[in-house]
Amino acid sequence: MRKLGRKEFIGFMMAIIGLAALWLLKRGVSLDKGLKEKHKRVYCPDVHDGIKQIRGVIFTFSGNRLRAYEARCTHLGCSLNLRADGKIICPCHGSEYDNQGKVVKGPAKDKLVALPVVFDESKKLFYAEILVED
Amino acid sequence: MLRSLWKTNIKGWSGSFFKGITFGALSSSLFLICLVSGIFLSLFYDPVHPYASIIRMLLYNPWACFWRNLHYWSAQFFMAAVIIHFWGYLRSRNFTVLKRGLWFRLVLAIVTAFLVMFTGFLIKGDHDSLQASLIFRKLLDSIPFGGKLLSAAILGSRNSYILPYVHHIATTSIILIIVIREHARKLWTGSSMVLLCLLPLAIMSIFLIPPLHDGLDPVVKGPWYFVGLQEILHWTARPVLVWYGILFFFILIVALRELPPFSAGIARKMLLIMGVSYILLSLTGVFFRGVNWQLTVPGRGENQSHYAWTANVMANPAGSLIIHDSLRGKESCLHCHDRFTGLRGDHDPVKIGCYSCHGGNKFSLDKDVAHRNMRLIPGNMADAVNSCGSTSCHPDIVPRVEQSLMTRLSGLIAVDRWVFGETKTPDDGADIKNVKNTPAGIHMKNLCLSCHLGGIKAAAGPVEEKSRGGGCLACHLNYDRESFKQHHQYQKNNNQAIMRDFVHPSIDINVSNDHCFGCHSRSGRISLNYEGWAEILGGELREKGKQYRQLQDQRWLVFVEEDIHHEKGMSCSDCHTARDVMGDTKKYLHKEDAVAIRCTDCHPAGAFRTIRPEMLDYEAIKLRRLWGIDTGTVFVCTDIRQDVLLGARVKGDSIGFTGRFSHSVFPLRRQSRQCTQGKVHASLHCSACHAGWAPRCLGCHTTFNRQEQGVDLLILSTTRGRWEEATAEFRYGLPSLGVKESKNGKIVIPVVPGMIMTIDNGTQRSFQRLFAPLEPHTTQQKGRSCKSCHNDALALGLGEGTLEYTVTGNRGKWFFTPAYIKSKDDGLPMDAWTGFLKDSSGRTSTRKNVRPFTANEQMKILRPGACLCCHEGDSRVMVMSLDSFDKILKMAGTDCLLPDF
Repeated sequence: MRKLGRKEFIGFMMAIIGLAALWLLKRGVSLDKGLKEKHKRVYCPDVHDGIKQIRGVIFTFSGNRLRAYEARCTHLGCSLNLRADGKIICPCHGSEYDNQGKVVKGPAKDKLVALPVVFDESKKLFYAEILVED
Repeated sequence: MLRSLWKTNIKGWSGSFFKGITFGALSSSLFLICLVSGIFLSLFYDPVHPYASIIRMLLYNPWACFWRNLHYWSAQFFMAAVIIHFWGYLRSRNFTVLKRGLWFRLVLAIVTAFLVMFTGFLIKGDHDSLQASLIFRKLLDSIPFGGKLLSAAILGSRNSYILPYVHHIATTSIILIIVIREHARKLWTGSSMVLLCLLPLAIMSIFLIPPLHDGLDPVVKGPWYFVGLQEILHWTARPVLVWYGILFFFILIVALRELPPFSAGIARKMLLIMGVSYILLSLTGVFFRGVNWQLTVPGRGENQSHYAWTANVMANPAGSLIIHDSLRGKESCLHCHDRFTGLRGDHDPVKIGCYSCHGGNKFSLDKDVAHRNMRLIPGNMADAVNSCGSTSCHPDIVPRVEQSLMTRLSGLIAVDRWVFGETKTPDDGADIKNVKNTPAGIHMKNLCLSCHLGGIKAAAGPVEEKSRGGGCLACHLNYDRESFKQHHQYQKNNNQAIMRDFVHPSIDINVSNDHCFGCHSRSGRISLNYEGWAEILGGELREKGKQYRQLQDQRWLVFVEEDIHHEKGMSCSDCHTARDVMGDTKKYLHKEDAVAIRCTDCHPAGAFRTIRPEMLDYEAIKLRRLWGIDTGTVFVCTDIRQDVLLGARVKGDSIGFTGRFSHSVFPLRRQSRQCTQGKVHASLHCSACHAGWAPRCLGCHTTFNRQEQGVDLLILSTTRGRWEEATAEFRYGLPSLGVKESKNGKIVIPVVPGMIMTIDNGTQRSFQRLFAPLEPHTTQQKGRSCKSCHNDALALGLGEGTLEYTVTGNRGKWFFTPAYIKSKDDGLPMDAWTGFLKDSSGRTSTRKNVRPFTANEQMKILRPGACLCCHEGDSRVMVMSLDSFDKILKMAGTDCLLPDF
């Protein structure tokens, strides 16, 4: 087995320390993110045919079914806009979705991220939860 | 000199003023200016509230604003100079003499330069920055192995600008200082060089403010050096490919130094093609992309605003200015227009400022600059998408209005074209945008097309009888006494604006009958009818005891009888819901398709259709709040589309209606016994009986005058030749009846003469006899009498005249003597719709599914009419006949003489 030279050893050690530092950093970042993240309830004010955007959530009601989606484009995360023809549109790159979150026009290829809709008995309102950072 | 600019050596730096200037030297000098101005700028910039701190600089502190401008512009030119300098290096192959490590670090420095610029863009904290930050985060996250760590390391938390700020001022700047120092062996480029850059930049910074956008701006674009990337991303479903592209670009440049001359030449050509392609994509993004990254024509309003933030910063005085806050931050408008009232609720400037509606430049205190590109009258359909319809305000409503009948006028246009023989159907879904200069087109442009929401309101002032168009303002603009007084003052002072103590007209949901009056007092004249007024010719004899009125457009009216709903204090908007008027996104052909309200919604035969509070749609909830209605209220809704009738409310066991403006409350009644009694009248529309009267205009003659110039009411221009309209007579009385056929069966409805006219275009003459279905809006509680239908020529569509039942021996016969002479064109009396006991043929109505009674139907109506000659309408036998007329006939005595047809 070849002996490591002094410089090689130091280089090797530095690489190990660097990787360890990166690993520690990664753990720290992921823990920090978890600490900052919390769920926020967004209430849907009505259940009626149509589409509405409320604080980062898009609610759609059609076929007697209320759906909720994260108001972010699945292409690159831009905040979405609503259009009166029932389309959900990305102002940054022009992707379009229908009221069931399906992609109508690219560049996006994935459906909108669906959020579970829950009924709040005390308020008699439906809500969806989104993850936000403090 | 240009050639010397390409030079990459640094020997000339300390030479004479112009000698030896290179892009490298320019880059370093600009970097130094950027560095120093950035340090000064940091005294005023707040990374915790970046957007607010920039607005503070723009409004209050011209000196801080100057440093911001200098920092921004020096940075932009630095980036441009670095790119050109780098290309110069590649072109000259000077990099081959550099050490491998240094070359690698230099290429990395280019990446760092982009990063320092981009973090600077992000920490503006405006809408574009926010979107860019979201995109960049997701792009970084998509990098395999460590992408998420990288995004956390560069961008930090989603709602914080601290980490990008740290990277901007420290990490990336320090790296650049080190690399420049190593590459150029000195940082200071010499006083003359720095001065050469500083002077033009300083002058530029006095006049030009870098762009800052809030969510109202519908166009989202990245910084100029990344617009090309934004365009690439538009075409890429897998953003990670962009990293592969960047990596390939990076490796190609790094490897360039190692490649033999021939391969290096090919690589350089590849880089050139990539560079040129990127420039072309950037130009596409900058000039040809608009709202929602859709392709657009350069110079259109929506695209212009994005790069139009220029202002004379020195015009903003420093000192203790008081500018009121709005929820959108501070706006310079509120410094001069500080004491104005009139706008309430969500339109209060405390909430939305002035810029949201009026545009202009909200960061300048210079009058001219602040008012540049301002919309004095916001709300016109042409720019409503940028004012009322902007993303933060009513983005859901404006596109609906654009599709609505009052904007598109599809029915009116389709019918007119059909009448002129230009189309085969009155149901072709025409649009006002596509009206051409055909005979029908010019006819409408001359006579009809001022009445649509797309018409431009060009001058301030209240909505009145002669008002047309104005987009959102056509319905939502309201002047109170004070604002009206000030408006007169404004006109008197030759349109000199009142700056302080200004009473702004209100923008609200108080849509009164007056808003509808201008357009709806024409054609079917429902606004007149509803209030009880019928139009008459000006020269007609004035009778004593009758009430007359003259409109602003000189037309004369006589009072007949108001609609019972008007008498009860109801306004148009009590029945016609927001979706009726502003559309529900569907493109309807005719008004009867677009309107959801039916008489039976408030006067059902059985149960009312109601809607519980938790089932209300968002718009109804908003209106309920604005109307101040209790949140637990149960409302009546329409059967079609379930539009909420906010006036019709359930209270305990009863249902009452509260007038929107009159606040008068009255109970809603179900249909009376007479309405539902028997089967024979089941196919009558409510208004066939309950319409008290309807207007009729006769003998209309439309000629084309080739000699005169006409006014194009659509675009306010002129037309070659002019269509002129002359009416012989205006009449009013109980309406004629006709049959509307649909998939649900036949129904009898009121009709009025729609187009009984001669069209004479100078070379060709055609006669039209078309009636139109009309909901007259003259409802009376008591329905018309039996005789008024069964024994009346006008009701049958025969026109005015005498309809007599004559008995000769044991035979009865109906005879009709018309009051008007017969037309030479079709042999019918001038005011008739159909012939007596005759079937009609060809075009008879402005709708394909509406026709006059056939001969058989006329006979069917006239047979009970014969009975009514002897028996009263409410007699037992006639009431019994409502169930089955044939059954009654079997019981008829020998005295009963049925008509012989």
